[in-house]
Amino acid sequence: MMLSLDEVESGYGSSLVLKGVTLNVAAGQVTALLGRNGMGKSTLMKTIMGLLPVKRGVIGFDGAPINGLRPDQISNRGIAFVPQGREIFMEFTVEENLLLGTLGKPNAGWIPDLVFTHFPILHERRKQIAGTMSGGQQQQLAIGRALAGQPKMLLLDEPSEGIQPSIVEQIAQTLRAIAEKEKLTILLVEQNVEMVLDMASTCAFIENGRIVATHGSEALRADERLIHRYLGL
Amino acid sequence: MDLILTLGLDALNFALAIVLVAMGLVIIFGLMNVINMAHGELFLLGAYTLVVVQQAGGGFWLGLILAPIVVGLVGLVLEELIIRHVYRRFLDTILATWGISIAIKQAVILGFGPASYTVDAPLQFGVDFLGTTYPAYRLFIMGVAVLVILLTLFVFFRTRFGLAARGVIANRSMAACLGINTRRLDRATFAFGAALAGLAGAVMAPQMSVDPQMGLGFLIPAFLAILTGGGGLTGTLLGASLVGGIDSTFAKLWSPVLAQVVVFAMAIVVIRLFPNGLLGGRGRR
Repeated sequence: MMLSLDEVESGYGSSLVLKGVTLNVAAGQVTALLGRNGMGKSTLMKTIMGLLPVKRGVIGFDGAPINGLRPDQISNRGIAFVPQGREIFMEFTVEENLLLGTLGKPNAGWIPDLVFTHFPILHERRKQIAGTMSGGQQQQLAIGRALAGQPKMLLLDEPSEGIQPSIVEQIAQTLRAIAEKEKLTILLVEQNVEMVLDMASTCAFIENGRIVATHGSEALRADERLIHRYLGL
Repeated sequence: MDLILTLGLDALNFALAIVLVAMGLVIIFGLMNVINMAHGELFLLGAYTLVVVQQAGGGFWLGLILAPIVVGLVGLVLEELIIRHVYRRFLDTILATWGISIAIKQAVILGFGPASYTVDAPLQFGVDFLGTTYPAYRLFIMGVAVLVILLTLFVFFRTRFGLAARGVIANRSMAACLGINTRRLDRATFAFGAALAGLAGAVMAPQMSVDPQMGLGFLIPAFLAILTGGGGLTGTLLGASLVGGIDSTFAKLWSPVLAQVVVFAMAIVVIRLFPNGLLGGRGRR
């Protein structure tokens, strides 16, 4: 397992959002986390990243526990985060955004080729101010920035949010190509069921701060009622 | 004509001196959201470092080099012992740094007494400048200030450290998620800001009497410059020109007291009309 959570509890202040999450993410695979709004998907991402404190339980990554580490330490262990809303540095150039993704890493100050191979537009626009790009381009920049640090694993929180459908399809394709070519492990939070079934090999469903079921994508495609049961569509 | 030129040079001199002091304040505030009330006392420590070096027989130049190093180290210790515990508690940072300022001031009084010292100034000659004679040391101060401005610009816009620092200013938690050690950056930035204050103290020392109250005399115009300019680098340059220009011109033509009154009146009017400062928001970065 690349990433494993064992009975993890976490939340904001004294209120618990995650009430004992147990989840395993296999190396080199795309695992999706699905659930209705407010079930704790983003909280789970932030907890893995060290932005929220783990109150109980253990998070293990690549053979060692990472709970209690600071976000920068977790990032430098090899987990890259593409947060909800992208959190691009709007006033910086595309190139500066990408460089920021390398600063804590062995390749500090050098953007690896794979970023521009998968997202040629970022090379084209590297001198442009990030805030002047379209939502889809900014999302590509956020993913590119995560890749710039040559991570072992990618956490993607709602990559399709606020992006036109045609671009979503394109980003999904690129992400699939990246996962295959770079042997990246991906944990994906996404509302767009089509994108999820397209990309993920395993889907975990979260409800009220717990993982309630895990299914292979094949099974979900074969029986759509499974998805509807957990997402209440 | 001579008068106008001298007035202009004096105004520029004072404005640049204010920038020298304000720079450290702006950097620390921009990155860490800490209003450093002890900045004037770091300035003071820079001047006293020079006094100690000269008493020990070292020259002015040695003191000038040692001052930023010594005060930078003091900044490092203060950050580690006190400041880092009050980050993100805005009012507490004001109280804590104010406490530090009182402690440093009293420590200096205990160590050196309340009386003032004079520092031997180098470059004791006039330079002919466009038909008028101007003290060489004042030109030196301006040169140092311009150098500090350029150095700061270089560090923040041309180095990896600067990119990381700007990233943290723009979005601290995202910068951390990208692997930037914000802790180390805070420490380095606070020390850098403190070192600038120490340098300013040593540079200005030959121009003023070195006593435990000297910090305040520059801290207030520096704060006014940041406030009226709207913060950031360009805002501070603008505010410092305004405060420095008005103060030195009125002080020379009428009286220093009137100059203070006019400066404060100007600040009140500016803040009434532009609550965020003249460049409010746009001048940041």
